[in-house]
Amino acid sequence: MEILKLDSVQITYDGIPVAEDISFSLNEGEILGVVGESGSGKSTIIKAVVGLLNSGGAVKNGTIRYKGENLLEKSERQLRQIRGKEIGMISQNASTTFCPIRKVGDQIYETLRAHGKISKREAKTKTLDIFNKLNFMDGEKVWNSYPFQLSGGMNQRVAVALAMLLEPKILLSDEATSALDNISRNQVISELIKLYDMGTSVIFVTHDIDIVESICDKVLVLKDGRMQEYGSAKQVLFNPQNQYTKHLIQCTRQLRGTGYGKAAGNEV
Amino acid sequence: MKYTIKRLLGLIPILLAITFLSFGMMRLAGSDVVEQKMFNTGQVVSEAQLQAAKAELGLDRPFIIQYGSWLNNLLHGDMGVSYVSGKNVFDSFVEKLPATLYLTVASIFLTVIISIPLGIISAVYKNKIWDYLIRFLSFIGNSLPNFFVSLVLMYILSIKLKLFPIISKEVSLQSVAMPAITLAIAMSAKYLRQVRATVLDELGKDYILGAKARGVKFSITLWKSVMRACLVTIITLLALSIGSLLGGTAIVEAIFMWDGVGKLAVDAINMRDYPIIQAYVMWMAIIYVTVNLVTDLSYRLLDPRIRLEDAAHE
Repeated sequence: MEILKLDSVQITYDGIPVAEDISFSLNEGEILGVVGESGSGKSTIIKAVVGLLNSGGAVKNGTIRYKGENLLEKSERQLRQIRGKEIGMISQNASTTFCPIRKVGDQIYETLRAHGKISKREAKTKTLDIFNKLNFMDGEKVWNSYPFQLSGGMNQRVAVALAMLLEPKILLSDEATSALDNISRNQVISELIKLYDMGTSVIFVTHDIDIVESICDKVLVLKDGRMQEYGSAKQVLFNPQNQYTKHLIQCTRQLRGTGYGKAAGNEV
Repeated sequence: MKYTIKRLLGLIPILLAITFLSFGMMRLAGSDVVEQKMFNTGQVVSEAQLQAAKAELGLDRPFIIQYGSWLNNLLHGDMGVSYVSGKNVFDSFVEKLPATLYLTVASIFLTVIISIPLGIISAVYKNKIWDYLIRFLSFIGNSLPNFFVSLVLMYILSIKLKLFPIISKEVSLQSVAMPAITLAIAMSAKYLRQVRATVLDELGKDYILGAKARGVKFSITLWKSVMRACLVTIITLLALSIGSLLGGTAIVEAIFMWDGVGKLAVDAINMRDYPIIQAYVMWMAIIYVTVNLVTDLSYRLLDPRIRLEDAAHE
């Protein structure tokens, strides 16, 4: 079932179009990979989904439907209830998305509190439980840490854990693994897959064709704010029609490790 | 604790240096209390009488001996007597302190309740009508000198509305109002721009968007994260103002006849009343060192990055 659908979306910054005629959909239980070079509009599109474009940004045309309802017509208050709880988001540098001078635990509690009545004790128990499931070395210590005391990888994992606590229907992952070393990257991906297994659909914005090949069902290729190709991962990655897609895949394949993954016909 | 003790011990060389310098500078001023008294009263005295008067106060001795003797007395808990009034310096100083403290607390309190909310509103509604209005008021407040604000306040609040006394006869809430409002207007005008800039800077940070993406109410982010982050800057500003206010505000004190240490210091300087000046200089040094120490300690309390970094170095 279609859970998110963008139809002919145009996004502008200070009146200048940065993404045009963007149409795609995300089904329940699906992982959609969004690829393209830097500045192609990948992050802009997913920010637009939750109404978090930077100042000067606006969606000028089209519709963004979540469960059939146009998010562009929602009030800020309605959007607030959707953000985090219904549509979660993890960005490239999760450490900067937490307030640096407040403890991780306080910010997790604050987030859970924003979406329902919960005591701090309950929030902590639930969080430590998830930390435990994700094999965090010392969950209690992470709860009591400040973001700057944790590594980049650990901050990403905390962000995934927080998404798991909220169990969103959709997770927007904005280059969540781009800044990580290989070990942390694999950890975060495997945790994202756990979230996916819990029933969350994922939009995975990345530069990394390998990851797309490994975990995505569908792929959207962007260049200069325009869609180049959109279809099943298998089709786009192994039988690209568009010149740019061919070029992009060719470039990244040279660095590729294995052929393992969904697109190659393997199970994750 | 170790840090606090270290900082307080650091006060000793500062006090020595500053009292020595002020002692020296007052001597360089060219005249002394005996000559000033003579000049003020218009009396004509012989050179011998002049020298005798100086000798009586020990002003004929070499500068370094005078300083040594002053320091020695100080170490024995004796700050001397005023050359002018003959009263004990410590007692005359302590007598003026309540008025100064009262004015400081009142004006800082007013400044905080005016500038912080207005600065936040101005930042949150950046480039909207509220922002323009607040910035306009701040501009006006910044442009008006204290003596002018005092006169306007006197005219409106005292003469027309008869709310507060023009001249303070006692240290009370009613009499502190006018000098406190005068000082608060100037400080608020300056501060609210700083608060606005600091809040704006914080609002541009990624964590604001991060909290929004998690569905956290903006008001909660504003109070719990932004305000806490801004407090470091706000406290620094306030600390500097508290320092200068505790040193007295000569102009405002003079206009409202507010009998604080500012007026005491200016009178002492005019009369070259060295013991009082020395006490004042020491008071200022102690204030600034203490205020800076409290500020630094508050940074450590408010910003875990500073606290943990310092703990790692200790």
